[in-house]
Amino acid sequence: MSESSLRIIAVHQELLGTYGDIGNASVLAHRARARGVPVDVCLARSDAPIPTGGDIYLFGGGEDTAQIASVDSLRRYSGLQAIGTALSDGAALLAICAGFQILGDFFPGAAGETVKGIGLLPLHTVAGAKRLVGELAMHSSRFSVPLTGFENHRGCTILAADAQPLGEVFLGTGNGGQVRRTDGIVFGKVIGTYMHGPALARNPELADYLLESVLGVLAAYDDPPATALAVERRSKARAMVTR
Amino acid sequence: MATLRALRRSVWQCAGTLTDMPVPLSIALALGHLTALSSRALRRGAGATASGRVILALRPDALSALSRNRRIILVSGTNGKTSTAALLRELLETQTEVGGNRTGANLDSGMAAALAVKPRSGLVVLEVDEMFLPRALDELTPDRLLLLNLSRDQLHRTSEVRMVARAWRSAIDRHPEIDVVIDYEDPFLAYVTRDHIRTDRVGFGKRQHLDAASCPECGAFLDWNGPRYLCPQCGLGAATETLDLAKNSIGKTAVERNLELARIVAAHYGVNSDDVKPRDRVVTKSIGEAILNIRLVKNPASWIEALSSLPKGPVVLMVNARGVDGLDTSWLWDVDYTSLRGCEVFVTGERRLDASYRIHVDGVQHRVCENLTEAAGYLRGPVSVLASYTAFISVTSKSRSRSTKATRL
Repeated sequence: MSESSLRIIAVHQELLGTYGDIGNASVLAHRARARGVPVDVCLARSDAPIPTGGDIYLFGGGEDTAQIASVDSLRRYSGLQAIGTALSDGAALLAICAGFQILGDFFPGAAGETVKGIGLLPLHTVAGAKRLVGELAMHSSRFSVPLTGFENHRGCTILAADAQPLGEVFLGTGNGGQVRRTDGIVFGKVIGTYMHGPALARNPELADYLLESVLGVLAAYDDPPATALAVERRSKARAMVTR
Repeated sequence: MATLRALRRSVWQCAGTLTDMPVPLSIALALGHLTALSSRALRRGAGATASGRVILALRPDALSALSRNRRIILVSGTNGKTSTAALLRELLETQTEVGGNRTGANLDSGMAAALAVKPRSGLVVLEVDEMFLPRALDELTPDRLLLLNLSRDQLHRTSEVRMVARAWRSAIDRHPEIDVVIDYEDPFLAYVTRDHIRTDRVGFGKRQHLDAASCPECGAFLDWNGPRYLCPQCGLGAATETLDLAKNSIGKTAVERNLELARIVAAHYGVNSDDVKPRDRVVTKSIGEAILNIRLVKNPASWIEALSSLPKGPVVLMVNARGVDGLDTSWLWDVDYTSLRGCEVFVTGERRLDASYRIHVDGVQHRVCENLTEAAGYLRGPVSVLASYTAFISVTSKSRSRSTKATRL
């Protein structure tokens, strides 16, 4: 690994990688390399501490037992401290679905019991009435275009009163449980969302937002296959709303 | 047509009113038969599911009642159920008559329909849906169970692999009398049968598993550096296999391995035939000068398997995301497509743009096509087409109207 590489840490892929989550590392690496930035992708296993020298940390989705195993590992190896150190050194973090929930104060376990999260983010999650499966789309003041994804979760996430959601949902549910339909959180350089799996594949703007938050302003990069997919998904989302 | 529809409706209504009282099995079967006939006449498919539903509505105990006097072999797993059950039937049929759910209707209704067929004795090979297997074991009291593999499938349907494995294990533990045959290279199957004495564990040589970085039993990381996975904590993988085929299995495809497993099952019934050859479920169709060999791929494991055994020549990837395909395309990122670099690749299907971007990130040059006909227009000679479930049905169904119906599952 060279000093100047962008270091992407995919956390606990064996537990939080159920929905093609590794795709987010691939997309970030692809878009960084296209700008001439060398990249190292590191898989941080749950039987060891999380490396502290990363630039972007990725937490993916997983089922109940895997999610609890992940949070157990974070607790055992002082994960909160490691991530806190990395963030204060300027790292960014993307947390998706189960990964988003475990970074909060608590979340529901398989039998509905309350499981303690690691408390990095000012939020908590309770069990919702039913599983939410389907397309999810939102407007976010940070982006000129809507973000789109697919959600598949049962959690209902409540943000602290002063916390900023990632976007205002216009299709699907997202965090749920609040009067405003919102999804996710933006907390410093941490982004959380219910757009599951390889969310960055459908949202190149979000991928670049994460990259720029650690690399500074990047050269514009139009990647036609990425743009074609993002445009198609946005127009489908709009069509699903008007239908 | 109208009369048939009315008949079909009245059978359903009759089934509805009769459910409150005990019905002789023979009447349930007759009404089921009538339903199947009307479904077929109305061209609504083979009618197995509909007739099975009528039978089960009238006699909820039909599965166990119909399994008496029969020797039943169940085949289950994430991939290869239909083709392996067919191979097994073919092997056994060299000696005796064999029943089964040949159309692949593998839930309770499909099985009830298959068991309603005469003769109601002798051997039956049934493929079973993964989620339904525990109930099938309880109600059918089979002779033998063949387990092929277990890996992630459409996640909104079958939920977690580990949950399915746990359900299988407790069902198998309830039935110590059943003989089980497994591919021991799948850590989930090793876990499922760990306490089951009557198990044939077949070794084919090490094969990576997408969902088994950690032990299905205790969660510790499996050590994949030896000749087989091994759990350093609980020892999963340390059993000596019953049958070691590793030496002869290098380079074998999943279909060939499954045929070996079917042979091992058949040998228990006195059948030792070499005549049966492995067959891929490939449908060949010509469009213009292109000869399309269309293969069904339905989850990451089957994509990985299909990509690893592609013949040389152009490739078309056809991706949909409807119902049975899984409603989203995130799984695309669980598969490595770098083996396609340098090949002539085309991408189509309703989610072609998802597939296009995915393989683009893996450095695979390709062309995006509106549909299969457009792709075929660029090609001549043999072409490999890998199609997700509804895409496969839409291009392989015989009539246009039926294919439209099939894709709306």
